[in-house]
Amino acid sequence: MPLYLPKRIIISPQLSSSSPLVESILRHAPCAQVEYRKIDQDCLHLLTADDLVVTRHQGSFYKPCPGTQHYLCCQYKILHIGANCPLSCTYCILQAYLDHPAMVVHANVEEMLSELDELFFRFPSSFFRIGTGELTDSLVLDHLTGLSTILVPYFAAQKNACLELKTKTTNVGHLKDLDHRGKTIVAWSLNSASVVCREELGAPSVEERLLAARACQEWGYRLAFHFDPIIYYPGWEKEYQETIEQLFSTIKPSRIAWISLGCFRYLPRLKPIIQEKFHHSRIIYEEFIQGLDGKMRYLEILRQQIYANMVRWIRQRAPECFLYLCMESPKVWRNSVGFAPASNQELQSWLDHRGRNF
Amino acid sequence: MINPHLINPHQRSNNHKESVGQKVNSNLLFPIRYVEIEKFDLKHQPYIIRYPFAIHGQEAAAVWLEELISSIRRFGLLSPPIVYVGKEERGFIIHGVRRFLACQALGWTSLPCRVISSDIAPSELYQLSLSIFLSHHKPNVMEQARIIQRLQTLLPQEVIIQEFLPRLGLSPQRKVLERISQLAGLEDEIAEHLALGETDPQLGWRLIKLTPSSARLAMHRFLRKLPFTLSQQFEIVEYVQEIAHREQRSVEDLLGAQAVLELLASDLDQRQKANAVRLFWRSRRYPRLTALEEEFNQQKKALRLPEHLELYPPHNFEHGSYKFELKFADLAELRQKLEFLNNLISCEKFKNIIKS
Repeated sequence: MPLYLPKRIIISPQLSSSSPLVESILRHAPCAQVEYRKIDQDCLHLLTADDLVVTRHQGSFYKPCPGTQHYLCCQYKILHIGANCPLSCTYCILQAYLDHPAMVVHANVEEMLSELDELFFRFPSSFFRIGTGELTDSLVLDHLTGLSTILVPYFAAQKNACLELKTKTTNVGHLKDLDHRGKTIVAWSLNSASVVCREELGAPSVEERLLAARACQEWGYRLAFHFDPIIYYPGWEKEYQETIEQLFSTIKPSRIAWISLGCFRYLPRLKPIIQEKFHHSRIIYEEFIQGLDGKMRYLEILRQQIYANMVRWIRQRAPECFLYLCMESPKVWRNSVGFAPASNQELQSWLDHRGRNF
Repeated sequence: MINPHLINPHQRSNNHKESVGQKVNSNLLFPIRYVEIEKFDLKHQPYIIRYPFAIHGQEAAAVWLEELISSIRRFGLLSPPIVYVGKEERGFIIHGVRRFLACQALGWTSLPCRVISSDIAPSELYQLSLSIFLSHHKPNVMEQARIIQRLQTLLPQEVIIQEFLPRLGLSPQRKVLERISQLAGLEDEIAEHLALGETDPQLGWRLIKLTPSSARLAMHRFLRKLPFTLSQQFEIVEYVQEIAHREQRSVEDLLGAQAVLELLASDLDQRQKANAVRLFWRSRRYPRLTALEEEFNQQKKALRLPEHLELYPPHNFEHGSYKFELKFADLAELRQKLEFLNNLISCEKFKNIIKS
């Protein structure tokens, strides 16, 4: 898959010209038209996916995952490095969250790290499992920004934090020679071959992702995998089993920090967006009900059946692998995984333990 | 000189050969002349605003036409239509299409019209036609849609929004313009029902999203077979459309399903049939949910709950709470029901419901 290159870069005048991210972006996208101007929030919708907005983030970089009531959340913490993604996945929730197509990078990294310094210092006995892949793909712009070369060494020096970089890309070149000290977990979203082909339109194949993961494994990184969203369709069993087979044929289970499972779910307002943008996609026409959090979900009995199969197939290949469900009820946990955390806090503690002591 | 306000058809039919092209009243801005009907191609009349201006084979059309014919027979053509005759002698009706059709039905070969013959740009002619139309009529939804669609080819969008939407009885907002103009893409068969108020515009907006055109027409015909409520219509459109996507089948194919035909031919009354058809499509769209509901209802039936005690499953069978609804008239009835509930807790059939 070709790497994302913007046609136009719009840089906020609030940023210092010596910002390492700005310098890196300009160096790695020499053909892009560069404009120095402020972009108001209400003008963002006038931009296109070919525009890269490099801006100074005004608010807090660190936020808890919004989670959801009624379902168990792992209480992942988000580092807000930017917004949007050029991979064009049909099911992407960002289409409903963000009202513009432009890529956004927050370039005031010094302020981001100061905020983290203060947080880690104030709560020395807490553990912080932090990810950058909530509102964007963690590595999709890394060839331009080189952000991983700042974040990975930074987390390497922390005693009470780990970083999870979640991606679908193979954009791992910058990770090779970094001194990560086991504090960075590189994670890939995986899916069946048909889903990758039909729904993850701009993303690399499963094989390509796993080869990138294997490279990270060789560089000593810990890995994680997210089967999320798992999409139900006739014949899903065979194809997801094939992906699981590919995973364990390429990656050592002992290097996997965790594997998460999450069935496809969506905000009702995403449906007309998918209908409008992706006529070919049939994923929204399966049988969905409105869950207790207002999101559309497969029926509970179907989710249980899907998870139970996935857990069985994964455990057949990697009995010791740590598995968790993303945003599911204790009932679904018990009926598919065999046990359930008592609360969000317990699930968080399990994952923090994996993050700290893996 | 003929009085242009009262033209006797008998007098006209006696004299019409002599009077074709003859100027009747030169003092008017648009003088009255006799024009030949054959100069008008009724399939291509871009300045007629009225929609539908003729509905063939429909009772409603026949009623107004008969009325008009009888009036013209009795009193003559009181007010001549306004027409434009271009350089190639092609005639375009600007106003008065029904009178024109009535005269044609009477067998006239020509009729007196106010004739615009000077060079006028098509956009001016359309606005003239629109102006006259709006001074006489409140446009129906299809007229609104077609007017907006036409104006979009003639004027900037902002002018249409600010000046014309209020004149059409619409709020001057871009989203209103976009929404209404979509309806202009509907096929005449559907559009005519919309114009006559027989099909709701809300359904029109749902139908426009159904593709291809044959699917829209099939769905519209299907929905006219039974007295579906509007919400039933919405549900059926959504269910069938989504089943078609999921199963990669055409809407027409689905609507012709044997099970549906059997429901349509059943002995149920029309409203019962409508509901049965809706439930059929719901069960096709949500087969697992429907199966769960049916299973729950059967299990619940086996509990033999007393009257005014109702058990509900968790919403959408998602983990959550069951609900009892209890109504009572007096303390004795309440005591009786509470005792029933107390016994229910140890009932195996009830335990099975809660476990599942």
